[in-house]
Amino acid sequence: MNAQFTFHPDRCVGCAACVMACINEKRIDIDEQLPFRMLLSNEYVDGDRVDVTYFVQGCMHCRDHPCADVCPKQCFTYDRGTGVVLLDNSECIGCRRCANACSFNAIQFNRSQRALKCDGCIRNLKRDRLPLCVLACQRQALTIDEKNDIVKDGLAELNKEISVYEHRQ
Amino acid sequence: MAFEIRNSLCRVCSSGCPLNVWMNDEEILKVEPAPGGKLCARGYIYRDYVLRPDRIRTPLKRIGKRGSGKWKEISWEEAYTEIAKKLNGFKKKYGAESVAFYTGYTKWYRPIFHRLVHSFGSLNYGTESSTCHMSMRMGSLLTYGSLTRPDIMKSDLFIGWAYNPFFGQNYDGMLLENYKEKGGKVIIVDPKVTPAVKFADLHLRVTPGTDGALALFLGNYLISHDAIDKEYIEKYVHGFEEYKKEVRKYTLERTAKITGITEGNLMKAAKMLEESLHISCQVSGAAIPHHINGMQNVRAILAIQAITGNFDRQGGILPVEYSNEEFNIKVLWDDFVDETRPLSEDGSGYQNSPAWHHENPWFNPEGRKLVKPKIGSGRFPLWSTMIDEFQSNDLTRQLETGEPYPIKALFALGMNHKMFINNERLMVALDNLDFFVDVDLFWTTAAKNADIVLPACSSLERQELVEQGPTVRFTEPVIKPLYESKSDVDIICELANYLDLDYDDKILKDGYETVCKYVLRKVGVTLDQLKASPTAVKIPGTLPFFEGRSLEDGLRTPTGKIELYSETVAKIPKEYKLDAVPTYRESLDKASKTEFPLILTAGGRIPGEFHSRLMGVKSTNILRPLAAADIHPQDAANYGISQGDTLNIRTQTGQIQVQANLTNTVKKGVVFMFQDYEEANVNNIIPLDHLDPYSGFPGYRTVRCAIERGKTE
Repeated sequence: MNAQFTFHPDRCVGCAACVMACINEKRIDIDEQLPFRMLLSNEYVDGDRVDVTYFVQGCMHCRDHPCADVCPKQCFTYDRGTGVVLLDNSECIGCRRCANACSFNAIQFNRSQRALKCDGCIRNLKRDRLPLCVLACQRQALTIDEKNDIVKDGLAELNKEISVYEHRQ
Repeated sequence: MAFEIRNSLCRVCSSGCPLNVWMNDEEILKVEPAPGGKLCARGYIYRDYVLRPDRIRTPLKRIGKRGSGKWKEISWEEAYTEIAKKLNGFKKKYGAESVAFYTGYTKWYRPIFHRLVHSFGSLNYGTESSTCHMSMRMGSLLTYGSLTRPDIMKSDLFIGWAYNPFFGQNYDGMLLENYKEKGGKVIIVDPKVTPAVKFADLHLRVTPGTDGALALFLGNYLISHDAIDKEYIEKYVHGFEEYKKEVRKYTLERTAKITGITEGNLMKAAKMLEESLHISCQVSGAAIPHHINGMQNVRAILAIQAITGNFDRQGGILPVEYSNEEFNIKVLWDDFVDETRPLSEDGSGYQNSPAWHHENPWFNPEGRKLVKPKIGSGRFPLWSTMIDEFQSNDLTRQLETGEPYPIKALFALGMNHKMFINNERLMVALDNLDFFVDVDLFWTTAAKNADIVLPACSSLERQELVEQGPTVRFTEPVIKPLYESKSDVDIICELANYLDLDYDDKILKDGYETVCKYVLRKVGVTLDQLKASPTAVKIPGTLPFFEGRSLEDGLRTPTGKIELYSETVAKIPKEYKLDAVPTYRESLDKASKTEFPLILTAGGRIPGEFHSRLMGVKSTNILRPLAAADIHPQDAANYGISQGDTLNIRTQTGQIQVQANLTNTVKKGVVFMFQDYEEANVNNIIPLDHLDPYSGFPGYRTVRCAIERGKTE
């Protein structure tokens, strides 16, 4: 399986199953780090009409992976078999260039200022099983393995939602 | 290292979604949905739920003052002996009714617990269903003699009353989506904007608690526009004329004023109904009944299917229980509970209910002991007639006054005091008890205040017979019970061996497997077969739905017809002032509108929480770091409140302090608050007598309140 993640904001209902699935799969202690999928939302009001858009933030394993390009220590590698962008933080110096280059706020730092990010549940992908957040999604809002144009549209929309959210904060 | 996947069930809520539990020897690594299934946010943290650090570990006996936290470890043997000595003593001295038996949310063991209470010789069995589901059930039984389910895929129009399946009921959510794709129309009636609204052709943002007026208006419109099924009404409906007279009061203008929905939207909704042939609906079992007019609102809502000929018809709403007993092939839990039932000495009680049929061959009233009426009988006669449980919202009053008889002891399983109205008053009243036992997995407030605490275990640690639709399943534990905990059922059955029972209950005393064999005896599947199957087994002989079958056989109502004029309600003495037709009245309390200008809505579902069960799971803090109430940005502006400010919410009964969350998803003038925060107990500030006279349900969702910006420390 190929881990090109796509997110379709119009399909997400904000149930947070992906967030909890990530916590469960990666046994994340939320006092130490955030889950690799985070649920955020925007509200749009038009007269009486209120639209809530949810979006799930996390590594999309971009094909052009800007995080990898800016890392001075070559911590990032691209797995050709699955398309996953992998991070080995043992050489990380905490310069945060990768985080700044990422459009999806997908990179966080642990207490010792080393970068952390999603590994696409690569062990699952290699066994032809879905990453847990994708498996958890009831409505195929979070998908992998789609054609490139859908990937681009989905990501453009997600990017828009994230920038609205950031502006509001 | 031995790696293995074992099968079990998630039991955070009652859905019982199948789990694959990934094990490394006896360590739980993680959970996944069984292949082809889905889990919600709650299911994915089931491991953390089972391993919550505040699990109660051993049986404990209080040695300090109540609530002081001073305990002595005792053995199970000592615990049973002590409990039996006390309960048997109260029974002898004051009668069996002086012991109240209560269970909190979980439902799987309820018939077994219920039977123990009957065998003990009392009707004082109560549950948290006094605040959830049962009021909706009453409305449904009064009208149709059965609960109903929407036949959504064959509908033209689906009306979801406070309906949002996306924060838990995965299957219903998928169904709604498939229905929409097929071109079905949807109306969602909800003051809040929820994900279900994305699927609505029309969203009616009704003022909380006014759903009944809206439904009566729709009835009025359909009748006056001749969009009703006259032949069906003639043949199957009782009390149409009385209903017709009542709905006339709900004109467009008046209804718009009551419900806060514009005349334009009311007309849009009415026209959608007029143009649809097959109309189905789903009524929330909590949001709609949680008003002091809630039970009547449920009846008003369900009446729409009666006048349009949509009950027991494809694409409408279907009965869940057949009126002909032969068609109800199922696990015999009702039979099991009835077998040892004593009778209420005032002649009232569940045995007179139309929903409960005298022809049952297993029920022989002769030789049965007459016992005191259950708690709440004097105050909520309709509830007491129809529902086979005491109305637990009357428990506080009876503990305080000792009227009509004193309650000396309480034996509770999984008691969550936050489910009770004005619950800190309950906690004070519990001090009047001579003896209080609580069984729980976790250190809840109730457990901390008990005299003896017993540790229960989770669904991963126990055997369980599960009936789901037309299937049954038997799960085996995937891990040994943690610490010294036991399955609730084992606790109930073992305790039965120590109690002085009026009915020498050999089946109960023999334990869970004997109970299971006994209730499976007419199902056609044996316990051994179930044990050998890793998945659910279809009950042989279960029949598909027959359209119109229940109507032809006669419904389980006093007239055998759909009752818009309820003969059951009409029999309740006049002084209780209950109306036999679904009338509407205001749901707010009598506090001053100038002093308390806003509406507080306490309770609702949020992702990742279920009552208080997951509050102790740290990971859920990622979704709701602090107790917060939702308020509309315009209300916030009026009171000078910004996002994240400390917010004081005050009612005539009390005050809580939470964080303000500004959102357009709540209706202007409404403050929404989830009910189970440890640090902000919102149900406690609902007035103790703010109860529905029909069902005894608390009016959690419409209480007058005031808000102000609090001091931030």
